[in-house]
Amino acid sequence: MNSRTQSLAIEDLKHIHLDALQEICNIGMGHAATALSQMIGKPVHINAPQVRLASMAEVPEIIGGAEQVVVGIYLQIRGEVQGNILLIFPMESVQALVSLLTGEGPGQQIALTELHVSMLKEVGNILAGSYLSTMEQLLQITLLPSVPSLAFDMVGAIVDYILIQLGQETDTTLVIKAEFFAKDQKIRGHFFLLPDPISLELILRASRVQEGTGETR
Amino acid sequence: MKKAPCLRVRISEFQVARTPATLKSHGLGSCVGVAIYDPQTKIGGLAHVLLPSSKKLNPNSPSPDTADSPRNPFKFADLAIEEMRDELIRQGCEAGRLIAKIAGGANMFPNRYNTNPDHVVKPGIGKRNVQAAKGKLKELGISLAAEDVGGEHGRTLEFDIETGNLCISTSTGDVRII
Repeated sequence: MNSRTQSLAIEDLKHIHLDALQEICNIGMGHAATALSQMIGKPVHINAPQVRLASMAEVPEIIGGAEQVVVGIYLQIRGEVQGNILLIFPMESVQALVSLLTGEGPGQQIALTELHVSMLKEVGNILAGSYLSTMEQLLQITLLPSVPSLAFDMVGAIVDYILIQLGQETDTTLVIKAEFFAKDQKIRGHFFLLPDPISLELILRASRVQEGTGETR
Repeated sequence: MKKAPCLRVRISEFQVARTPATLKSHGLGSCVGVAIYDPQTKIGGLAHVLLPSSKKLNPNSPSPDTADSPRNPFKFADLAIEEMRDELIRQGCEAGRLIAKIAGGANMFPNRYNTNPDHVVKPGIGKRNVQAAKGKLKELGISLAAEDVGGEHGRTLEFDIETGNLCISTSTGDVRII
């Protein structure tokens, strides 16, 4: 059990690690979808999360095409494990969410009002908070979300900020992506988790996947 | 007539091409695009840099320089600009004729959306990238002909090697040529 002394490089992740991450994220994101559905009063579905290793150059494409204009809500994960959560909502989903939550008619607004901004951040808080508290219980580690920050621009330009944080320590990042949607409501969004490379080992250890057990896969 | 090729430049990459060609980089936020060309030979390059300097890695990182195996030096403004300059010269550019234009370095989480004092995003990152790029260009003696930096919007860049025009389009629909 000398894995404590060796840091696990992202490039060394094996199938079993990725499967374990996918499984624990699946549970967490299921809880997040339930929380959102309680907030909007409509059923929210979530697709099984995809776990991918990607170079910095590939990340904007995974997140959704660098030039697409979206609302991005960003939260840092603090605590024993550090990382980044990014929620991406295409504009038509933002309008549908806002009209559902405020009762406003579906406007054509391009500008976000203060009310829209705080509402979208609250959606971010609820999704990230319920995801992280599920993970805390599963993994027995502390995970605290920061206050959400909001950006309204091209996907590539928003994700830049996260890549700058990660890029100081790595060239390859783990991207966990899940799509959630409310049927018939035109609400869909993506939940992205980009753990800090140093934290990966801790997550995997907490999920009881040990180095070496995946050799035969 | 055959259409001039358009080459993608992704984050932490650079491309060098000879006219007729366009180099394109999508969705730069706090990143900086550095275009350098030689107007006589009409050879130019575009770099899409993520971080200011290879010298200021996080000291808390467990293994700042080694463990990170496919380490990509071109994510750093200093290394990317120097290597791109060398490549331009290898392809026939004259060092003394090189001209640069830069764009990017925005703050993507502006105060108007983020009034909470605990807001985690630090706005200075784009500015540091711009300063680092300018510093490196100055050190290499490459004159900066034009810039479109800062602000609170993402940019898509198209660099036309034939004219040396750097066309910037933003999410708000603005198009500027520098």
